[in-house]
Amino acid sequence: MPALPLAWWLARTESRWKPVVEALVSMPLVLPPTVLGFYLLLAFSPTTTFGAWLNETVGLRLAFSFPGLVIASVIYSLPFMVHPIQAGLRGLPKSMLEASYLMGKSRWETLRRIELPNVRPALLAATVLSFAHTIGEFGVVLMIGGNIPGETRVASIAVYDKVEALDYAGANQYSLVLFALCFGILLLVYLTNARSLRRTVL
Amino acid sequence: MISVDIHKRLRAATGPLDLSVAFELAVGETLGLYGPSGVGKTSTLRMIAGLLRPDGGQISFAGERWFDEKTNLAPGKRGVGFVFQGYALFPHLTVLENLRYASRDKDARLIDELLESFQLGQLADRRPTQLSGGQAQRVALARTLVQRPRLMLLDEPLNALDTELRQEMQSYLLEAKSRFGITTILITHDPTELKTLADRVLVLGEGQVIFDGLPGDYFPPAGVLSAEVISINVDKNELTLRLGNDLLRVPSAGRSFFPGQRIAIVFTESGVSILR
Repeated sequence: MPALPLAWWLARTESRWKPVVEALVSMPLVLPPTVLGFYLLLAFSPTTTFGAWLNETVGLRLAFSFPGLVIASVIYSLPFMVHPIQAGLRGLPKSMLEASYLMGKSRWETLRRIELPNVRPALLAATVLSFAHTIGEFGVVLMIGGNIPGETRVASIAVYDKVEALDYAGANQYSLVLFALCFGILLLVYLTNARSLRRTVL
Repeated sequence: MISVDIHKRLRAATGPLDLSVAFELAVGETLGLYGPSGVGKTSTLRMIAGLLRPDGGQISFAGERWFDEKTNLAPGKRGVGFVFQGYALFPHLTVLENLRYASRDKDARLIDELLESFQLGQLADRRPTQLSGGQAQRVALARTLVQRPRLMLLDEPLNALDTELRQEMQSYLLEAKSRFGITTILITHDPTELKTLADRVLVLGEGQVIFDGLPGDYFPPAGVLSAEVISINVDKNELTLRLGNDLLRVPSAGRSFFPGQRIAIVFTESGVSILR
């Protein structure tokens, strides 16, 4: 969800902060997940100022908990969400938006009724890719969530666990499910994209 | 009445261009903007619409300030209808939905009426990608009129059409003009189009207004030839003109000319006379 306003801003802005923000958004692409996880762990930990503030004021304990996992995954998947949407929005002709503004529509209404419907394939691709990427996530999750059964143990870590315990059959089960799920999701994305492409050409 | 007096420094392909345009236009009149490409016609239109901010000057419409040093009214509040060069139809909406989206008062009667008079009734459920150039053009025009604009701005509306469609669209434009009586500013490259549609023409060259008057005065009628002044003989009150590959001498009738000037001449029984 935070990706949408960010992508919209990045697609239109001429601010000199744009490269900085773009670089930050893209960081998870190149940074080892463990580095990101380590810093997030520090930030969330009750022993640091920010973590303590979160703990006391908001009542959130993020380190080694499910909400913490979610936040970490959102940050980690941000580029997968932002990049396709930003590219989609930037590809729309400017005159289309100007036509809408001239009709007295607000920026929000133009975004909702003109821009978003015209970048639907990009939105779908972004959502599904982020989702699939989150399922397969390992490093960040391991650092932030730990491996608490029933709470923060995710599929990819479960695989790692089984292999460590030399339980290859168990690891295979988890892996097979993950493999099939990811393949299915990606296949769906490409199938729908191909179809919507055909529709626009016609 | 609309009164425009604006200037802006533009970054053109050939380098910076200082655009400076001033004119006034009465209610219901149609003004044609004419000139080669890259002299600031589209930028002028965009500044009037509020899509491009002038560096200075003022724009007012019917006593209402649209732009000066302190004010810059939002495009949506100016009541301007803009027909873009590429039409800018919304591809995910049908023809009918395009009109509905544009309509401020959601007046279904006006929408039906416009669909009817622009012969779009059959196409109401089509999407813009399924329309021909002429049809898309009609939708763009109808979509502008449905907003009940106080001022219509048309950026080369008939550019992409062939001659036959052009004439058809000209008649649609004329009909719209007589029905709604909207003040209109129109960019075009076509002299005949200007003569049919515009009450007045503003010719731009290198960011400046070089002619402001009747289209018929700028584009000479048939039989009138355009000649170039080669030299001026002040003693004999005589001009030497180049007409095609021929040179001819003409009395200058006491008016002043300069070498290189293009003038309009007409052959009469008594000889050659200079129109302007």
